[in-house]
Amino acid sequence: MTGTGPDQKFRILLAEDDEVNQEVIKAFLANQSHIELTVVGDGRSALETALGSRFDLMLFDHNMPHITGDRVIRYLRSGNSNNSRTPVVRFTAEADHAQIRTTDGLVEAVLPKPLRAEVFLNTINAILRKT
Amino acid sequence: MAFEGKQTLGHLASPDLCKGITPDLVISVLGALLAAPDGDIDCAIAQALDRVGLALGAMLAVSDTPGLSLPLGPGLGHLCVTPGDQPLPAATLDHLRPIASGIGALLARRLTAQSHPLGDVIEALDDAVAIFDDAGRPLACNRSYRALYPDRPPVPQHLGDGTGGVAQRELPDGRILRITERRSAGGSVISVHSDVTGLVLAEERLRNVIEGAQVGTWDWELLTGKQHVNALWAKMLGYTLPEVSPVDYRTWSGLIHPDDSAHVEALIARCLSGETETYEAEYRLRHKAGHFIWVLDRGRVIRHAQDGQAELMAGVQIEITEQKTREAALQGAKDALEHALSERATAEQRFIDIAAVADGWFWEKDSDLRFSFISQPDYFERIGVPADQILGKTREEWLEANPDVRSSADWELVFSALRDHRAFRDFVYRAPMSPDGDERWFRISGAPVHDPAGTFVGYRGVGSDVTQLYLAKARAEEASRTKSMFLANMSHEIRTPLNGVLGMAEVLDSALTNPEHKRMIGTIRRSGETLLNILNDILDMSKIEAGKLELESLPFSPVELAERVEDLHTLRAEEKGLDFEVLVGSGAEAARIGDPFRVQQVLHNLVSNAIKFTDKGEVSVKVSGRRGSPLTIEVKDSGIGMTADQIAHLHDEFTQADSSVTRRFGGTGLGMAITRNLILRMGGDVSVTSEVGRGTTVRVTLPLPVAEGNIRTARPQLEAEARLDGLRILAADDNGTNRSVLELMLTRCGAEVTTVSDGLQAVQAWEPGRFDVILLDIAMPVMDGKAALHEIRLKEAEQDLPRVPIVAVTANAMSHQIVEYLIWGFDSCVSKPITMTDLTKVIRSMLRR
Repeated sequence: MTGTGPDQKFRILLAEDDEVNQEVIKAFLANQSHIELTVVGDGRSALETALGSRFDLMLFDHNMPHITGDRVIRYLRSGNSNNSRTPVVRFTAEADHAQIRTTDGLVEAVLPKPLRAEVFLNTINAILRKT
Repeated sequence: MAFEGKQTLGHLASPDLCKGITPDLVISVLGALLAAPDGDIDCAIAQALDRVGLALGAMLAVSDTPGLSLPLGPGLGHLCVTPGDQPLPAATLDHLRPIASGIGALLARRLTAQSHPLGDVIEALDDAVAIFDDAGRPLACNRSYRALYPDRPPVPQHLGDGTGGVAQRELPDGRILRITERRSAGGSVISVHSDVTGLVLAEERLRNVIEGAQVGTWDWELLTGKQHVNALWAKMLGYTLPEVSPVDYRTWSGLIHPDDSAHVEALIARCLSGETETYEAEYRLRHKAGHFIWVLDRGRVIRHAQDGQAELMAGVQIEITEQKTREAALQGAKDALEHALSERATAEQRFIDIAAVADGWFWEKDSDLRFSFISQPDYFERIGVPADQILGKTREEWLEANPDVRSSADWELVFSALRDHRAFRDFVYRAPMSPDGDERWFRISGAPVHDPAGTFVGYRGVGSDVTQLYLAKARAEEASRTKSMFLANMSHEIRTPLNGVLGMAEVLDSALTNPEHKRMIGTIRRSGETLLNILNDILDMSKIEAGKLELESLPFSPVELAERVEDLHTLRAEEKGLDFEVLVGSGAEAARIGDPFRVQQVLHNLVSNAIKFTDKGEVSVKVSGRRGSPLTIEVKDSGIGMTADQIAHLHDEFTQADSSVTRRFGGTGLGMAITRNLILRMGGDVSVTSEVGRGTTVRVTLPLPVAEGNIRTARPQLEAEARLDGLRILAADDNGTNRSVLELMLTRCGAEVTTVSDGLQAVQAWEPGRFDVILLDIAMPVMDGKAALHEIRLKEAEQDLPRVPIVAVTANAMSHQIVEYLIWGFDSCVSKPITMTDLTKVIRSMLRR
């Protein structure tokens, strides 16, 4: 976990091309002063950003321009990048309940769309506490 | 008694005298005379004469016609009467006789007066004149008198004590008369009545003016020294007239300000001597209250004595204290203004002087953002932009005429500043092409100007020709790009063969069993790694130079880090026969936050150097630093040591303690420069103590914060997982060596490997479900990796197949390239030179579900 000091915030990367969803998540996190959110709108920016600096949590939509979220995550997990072990939360319309899974020490969570604030916050806080 | 019928009065001796007199007139006069009561004969005669005029008297006087006549007196002729056909009765004649004598007497006196040559003049006067005999009987009066009193006989006024006097009378119609009477030596009285209405009114007006204007008046009798002043003169000085009277020269000289008297007296003297016609002076007089007042005094000599000496001087005086005060204030203001103007002139001159020698120019815009001033018109003329093409125009207008200039820079930066009345700085644009065809670049800065009330009044700014600078910068940037490109290329070119060397050696190492062979392959691997290190050093240094080195901020364990470095160097130290130990002080186990890779690089460099420059003895590493104090790394050796001078140059790039050192020990000389840079970037410090022949101690302190909580230390044991058993892998590389390396590495991990030498073969080898992972080199002949990838992805899409993981194998694995690969459709990439660790990790991650 990077957010160690009292002043240090958890850095979260949100990759989401849908502006409405971006706004929804920003709104969910508006009062979470311990979180610093970085928002990108496509897979390319997501990859570039994730290659550039380390995050404590990455929130990924699947369908994004340039590169899909899953492929970005797959690359990040395969390489020596800063974020090869960063917990990931994916948004999907296919799941019906939230789930957090840990494989080989890698945290992967799935959140069903539409997002519900309580579920969303509980999930990410649970992940952040764990790391 | 009455005349009846036609009657003729005498004959005229002198026709000239009788001109205008008709017989009828004479008759009527005589009739009146004859009708008058005896006692009033004189009065009647006088009235008759007045009506007839003096000419009749003259006529009568010279009449000497024989006939019925009465003598008027000696020399006066006769009063001739021609009564008509009948002779006058004796009684009538008797009656007429005293009348004749009365007329005679009257005539005698009248003639006396009348005969004077001034008679005509008196007659012509506008003033009314009458003469009376000593008994007060009217003798004569002039035309004006008769006009003044048409109905009334002249009456002496008996003014004064009878000898004469002056009086003023107002007539019922408002006219004002001044009556002057004089008794002559002969006893007759002359009375003059003058209409002075205009004069009196003028005087009154003058008086009003004098009082209204608060003008003091004075006159000065020079013979007696007496002076007369008016009440205002006195009041001006705070006195009443009686208080200052009598005034004389001493009065005045006692009042004048001592500093003024000499000057004023000199002016007066010049006037008195006739040198000047008038005298005028401004000076101060003492007020009754003690202070001085300023007066303007103006006078002239109004009368001179016979000998030409000034006799009477008169003048007016007004107070000008207020004017003087204002004048003084005005003068003060004027002085201040002049001072300010001269200051301004100095400032302006200073500005002009500076502008003349400055590299650039100054410009000004008015509140409409139109150019109102350019400091060096000559220069602009010379470069083909005459000032008149700029002045009066806005920047936009000027740019419209110069589209090339507009397109040379992002003018919106300037325009938005201008719109908001903000300052802008160092905006660079290409100037219009000069007549000599040279490219020119200008740099401008400007700031809004406001008046003291805060109203925007325009812009002022500077500009300069930065062509040299700009072109030099462009060249430098070009050179820097070239250098970066060269380094990147070199990195690529060196990494490709190194891939063969190191990869093959790694595989071979694990296959060899003969100790001698093992030793040999070890040398090859170390040599390759050294080369790779040098390459990395060069890249690091170029990153540092370009300011592109970025530091991570991660929790890491100093203990793990020390252990890793120990692992890396133990072998080398043993080979040199050195005692090598790494100690981690108690309290230093806490995780720190920083860039573990860079901290390791620092430690690695220091230990490498220590081992390199130490032939016998020991090298020790001590990592310490309790919570709250910086992480401290101390590397101590018993090597060759350095002189103070060598230490001083230690951190210079490309410098080792001695160039001979390079020959003896090898290395780029970049190591210490990189190390020092990294330490400084991490906010740390480094100190070196050394003694030639005894050894060196390098002490590094890094103020990295302690990480709270536990950090992940249990990294997956890669060795155990580095198996690819049963995986079917296709690898395409045009380089035979690389193909062999890949094949050996993958086979050793248990994979089934198919190798091809270009993209086309890879596409041809692909069959649905035949491979679990495909590795494609990017740069290949016939068909490159990208094209092969596309072909395979296309086929998968056509057959609606799941996408097989395809990994790019490349020497170019910068972030932006990785992004490109993923966009093309690769799933991951491994960078050359390939290590088994990387390869297995990537492949396994591709297949993780």
